[in-house]
Amino acid sequence: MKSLLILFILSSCIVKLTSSAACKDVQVSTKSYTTEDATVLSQIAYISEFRVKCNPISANPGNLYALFKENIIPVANVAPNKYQISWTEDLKTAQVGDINVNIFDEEGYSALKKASRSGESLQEVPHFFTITINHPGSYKGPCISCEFLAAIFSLLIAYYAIHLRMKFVS
Amino acid sequence: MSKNQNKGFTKEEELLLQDFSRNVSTKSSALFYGNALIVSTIPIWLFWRIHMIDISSSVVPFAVVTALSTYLLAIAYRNTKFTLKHKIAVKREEAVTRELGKKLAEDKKMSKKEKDERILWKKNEVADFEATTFSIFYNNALFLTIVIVVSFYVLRSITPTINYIVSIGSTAGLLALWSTGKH
Repeated sequence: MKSLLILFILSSCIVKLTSSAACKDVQVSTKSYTTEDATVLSQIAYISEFRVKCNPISANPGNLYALFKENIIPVANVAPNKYQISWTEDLKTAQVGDINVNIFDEEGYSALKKASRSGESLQEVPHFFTITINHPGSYKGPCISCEFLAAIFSLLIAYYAIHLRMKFVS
Repeated sequence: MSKNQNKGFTKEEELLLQDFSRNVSTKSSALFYGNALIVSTIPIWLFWRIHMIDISSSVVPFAVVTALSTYLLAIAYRNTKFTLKHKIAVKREEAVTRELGKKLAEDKKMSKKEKDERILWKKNEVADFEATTFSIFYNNALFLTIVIVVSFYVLRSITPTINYIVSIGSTAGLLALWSTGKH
């Protein structure tokens, strides 16, 4: 009976150990989207959906966290091994080009918390992986607005009409 | 009453009076009102598509302002034509006389008086046509320019319906007022 109990405990531990195997050699495939039409928007939205492939495949990356400047934000888990991160920025302050976002696992999150408590720089905490979102910049409309062009053309025609009238009257 | 007054005038004098009067023929009047209606209707598209006025809920202001603008623009066309017609006639007199004189010189049967009358008639016809077309062009150009500038820049922050009423109404009124000037 005693030996059976020891066997059960040992097998439980083995199952536990295999199920929570560390996720190593991470492969990340990212799909990103950013809004670009600033003529109808007041903020730029950045969305990135990424799939995390662990080694071994059975390993689960668990909860992930992103570091934005000095803020730690949880990453949404939308499907098994599939995550999504999104945020918005004002048009004037929106970042352009490649934007790197450091992603942390539970271990990294603990390290971040620790660094935050001890006042250390959060940027130096080792991250799980980095995703890159590219924002090519937003379209703010044509350099010369249509109404300005219409006003200029109509003013030219009006000037010509007045000039002709002056010619008749003189 | 008018018959008694007209009794004293010959046909030529009546024609001369008609030339100098502000009244326009039915054909000219139809041309003026038709043009005025088209030009007054064009800004509806501008306010509907660009300023995003809901056309179904603003039918009444559109109809009233278009009717008022059509009437005021027709007045402006008529007054501008009247002001310019004789100035244009003076400018074109020499050319018309020269051109028609060459044609009529071959006709030996025609008396000098009749030739002069024909030249006068042709001069009036040319001046009338030119004054009519120029009056339409001049008022349309000013109307559309002022409407664009006022609606897009001066009244930019005002609600579109008020913007429409004020910009179209004031522009048409202003043109009608300006046309009453002597020059």
